[in-house]
Amino acid sequence: MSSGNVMAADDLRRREERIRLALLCMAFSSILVLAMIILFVFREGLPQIARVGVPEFLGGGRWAPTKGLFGIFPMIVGTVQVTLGALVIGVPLSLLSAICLSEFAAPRVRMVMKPLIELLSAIPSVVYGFIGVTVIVPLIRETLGGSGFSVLSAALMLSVMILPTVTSIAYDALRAVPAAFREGALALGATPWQTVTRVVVPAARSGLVTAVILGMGRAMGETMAVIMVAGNAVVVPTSPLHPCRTLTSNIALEMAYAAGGHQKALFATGVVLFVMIFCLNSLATFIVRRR
Amino acid sequence: MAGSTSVQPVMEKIAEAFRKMKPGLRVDIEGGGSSAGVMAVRAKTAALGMSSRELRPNEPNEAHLWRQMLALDAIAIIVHPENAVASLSLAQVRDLFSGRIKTWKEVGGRDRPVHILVREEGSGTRSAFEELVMKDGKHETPVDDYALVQDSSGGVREVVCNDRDAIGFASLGALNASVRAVSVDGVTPTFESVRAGTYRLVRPFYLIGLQPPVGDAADLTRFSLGSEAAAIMQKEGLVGVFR
Amino acid sequence: MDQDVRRRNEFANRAGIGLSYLVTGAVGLLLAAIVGYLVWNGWPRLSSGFFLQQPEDLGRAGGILPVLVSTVLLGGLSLAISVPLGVCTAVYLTEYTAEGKLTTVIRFGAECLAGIPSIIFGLFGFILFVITLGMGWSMLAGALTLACMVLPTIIRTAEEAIKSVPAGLRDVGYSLGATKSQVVWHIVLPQARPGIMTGVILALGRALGETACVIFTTGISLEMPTSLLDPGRPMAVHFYILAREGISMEMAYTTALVLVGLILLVNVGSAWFLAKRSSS
Repeated sequence: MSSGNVMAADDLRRREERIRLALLCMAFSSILVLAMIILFVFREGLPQIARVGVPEFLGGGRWAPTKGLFGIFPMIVGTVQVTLGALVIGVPLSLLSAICLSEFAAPRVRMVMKPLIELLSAIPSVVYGFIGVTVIVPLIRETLGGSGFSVLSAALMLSVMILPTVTSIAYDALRAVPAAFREGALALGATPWQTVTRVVVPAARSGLVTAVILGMGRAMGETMAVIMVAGNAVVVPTSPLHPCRTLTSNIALEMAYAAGGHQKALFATGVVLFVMIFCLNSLATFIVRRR
Repeated sequence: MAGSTSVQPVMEKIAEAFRKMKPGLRVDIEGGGSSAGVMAVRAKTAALGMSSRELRPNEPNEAHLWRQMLALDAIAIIVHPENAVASLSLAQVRDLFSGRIKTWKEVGGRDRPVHILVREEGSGTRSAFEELVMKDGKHETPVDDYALVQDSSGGVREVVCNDRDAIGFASLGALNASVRAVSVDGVTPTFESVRAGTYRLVRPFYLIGLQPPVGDAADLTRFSLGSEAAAIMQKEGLVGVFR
Repeated sequence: MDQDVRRRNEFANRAGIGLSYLVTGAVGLLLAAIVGYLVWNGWPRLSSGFFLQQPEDLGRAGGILPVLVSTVLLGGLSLAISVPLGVCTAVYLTEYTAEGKLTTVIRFGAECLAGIPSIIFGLFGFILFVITLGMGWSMLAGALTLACMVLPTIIRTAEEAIKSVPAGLRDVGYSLGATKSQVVWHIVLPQARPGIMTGVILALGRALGETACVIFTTGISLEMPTSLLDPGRPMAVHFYILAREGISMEMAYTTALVLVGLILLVNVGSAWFLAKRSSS
């Protein structure tokens, strides 16, 4: 009788151990996926970068793969310009709305606005792209000139696309600041606005930085919507009204017809994009850890 | 089937008719592009490929493939219907696309800047366009760097029909009333002028395969070369090989 | 002097708060305008036939039945793959191991994955699933790619949800002689379900709205998918093709409306379901 109990307990322990091991294996899934992405994308792309030469590939100004020219410098510049543009327009709007909803708005306003903003992140990016083509592009063509397909159009559209992400993360960061901070500041005679700008915002800084960096990642990684409004010309834009091509659009535009070295060069574009995003994320992790 | 997005729309229509003959048969038509068609055929993910360009004999992937010409397609130079310019010489078209002509005034239109639209690098339509238009003898003039790039004929047409200053090129089959094809060297691209051989900006559409097709794929190939398919193609502005 | 400072502060206060209200109002209006634009343009063509008919003439006429089926299949399948993996990862990270090198590495992996643009998932899925593993453009290849893409979302939200289950509940389980796996299965996971569901819905929304990586892995065939190895065209891709190639703007708007409506329905439906469950 007692030996039977020991056996059962032993069985049970062995079963628990098996479950633990199975869970451990599954926990490695994300690492495995990451490793496979690096392996497969880099395996296709790196040899092409080596063949073209790092300075020629990253610094080259001309892209004509069918004629053996593989320079992605204009696209790196395009990606940076479009992303920065989206942040310059989108971040102040997002932060102000987050501040308003978290600090000033009546609960009823918050109840309506918060889900509405989150709903916006559920709208597929192609829909934004389409609205960009039918509304923003003609508007810019008629008012500012050029073809309308431009850095400015892409930045405007992306600024709307990152609004929901940045606003809701910034809102959460602001709400996480203890009420005592606000009460203290108000008791010392600060106006509500001073309380927000001098106490609440600095206290929520790391969360706000995370919000901005996530928005930046979203803007940089967006593909289809940008293809629809940016014009996709391979030039270093010197005016916001010039067309441009981003790294992501380069891949999606040409993947369909690319063969041989051309296709490998698109994978190489993916490698550059991956490295850029990776650096950005590491920076974000570093900032969050330091606080 | 997989391959060129220029061949895909007409193939979809041929397949719709083919399915009516053979109910219950699946015909999956993928776009992807001419090169994707070659890859799909090689990887056996597709029984037939569609190509809107000549196979590249020096590309090891593309040598030794079976191919069958399906139709002739004209590349039309398109502008907004309100554009006053209705006729251009081949040299003018070349200068417009290379950026040497910067305003419509220089070719008899309004005093407005020209917005150029092209297909992306690697597209069959783009390489055919470069071959037929941009090449003058041995010398090839590059397309203007500031040209806007779209990744489908439909995409080019959509931009051109919304911008009065735009010029682009697209497969004759992809046109509709929203844009106007200009005549080149005095010839307007139509079914007749392509068949007569007077419109010169013409390229072939091919069906490709690893080997000559068998079974359902062979039936579909035969159907595509038949009179019913030729009538469908004519409606799409293509000249089928069936005469 | 003092009066001046106070007046200036008071002005800055009014201006700041006013500005923030103004911006919030503008953002709200903008968002409402986008939804209104879709409804206005998509509503006229919406009918039961739109859901139940085969598309004709490349999607210019008819309905979107195969597109709808592809969408549901692709969304369901990608969740069926990613949810077990993601929840198990979260369980392991929170219940089975102490914070250490291992958890840091796994978390870092998930964070990196979360930041990768979808187009890179597309490249990866194309070369691995479609070409190397020979699945071709198929539901399976697309669902696997999407599962990889939404995995970090599910891990992160499930982890938060599990962490928020009070430790006392676990102790009750252990004191009754339950093993760790029993505690996790019967006590922790049911408690964490609402939070996990939120993550699942978020992931589903992302998967349904995705275009870039789906085109490379699922293809664009308009045929009805009848097996997991068939290609198909989900709604976001259908919308993209209709709109971009100018095939039919009316059908494009209607498809977009149905897609946004579907995502909304899933959101509201799950919220309602959870509310009903927790009250009973």
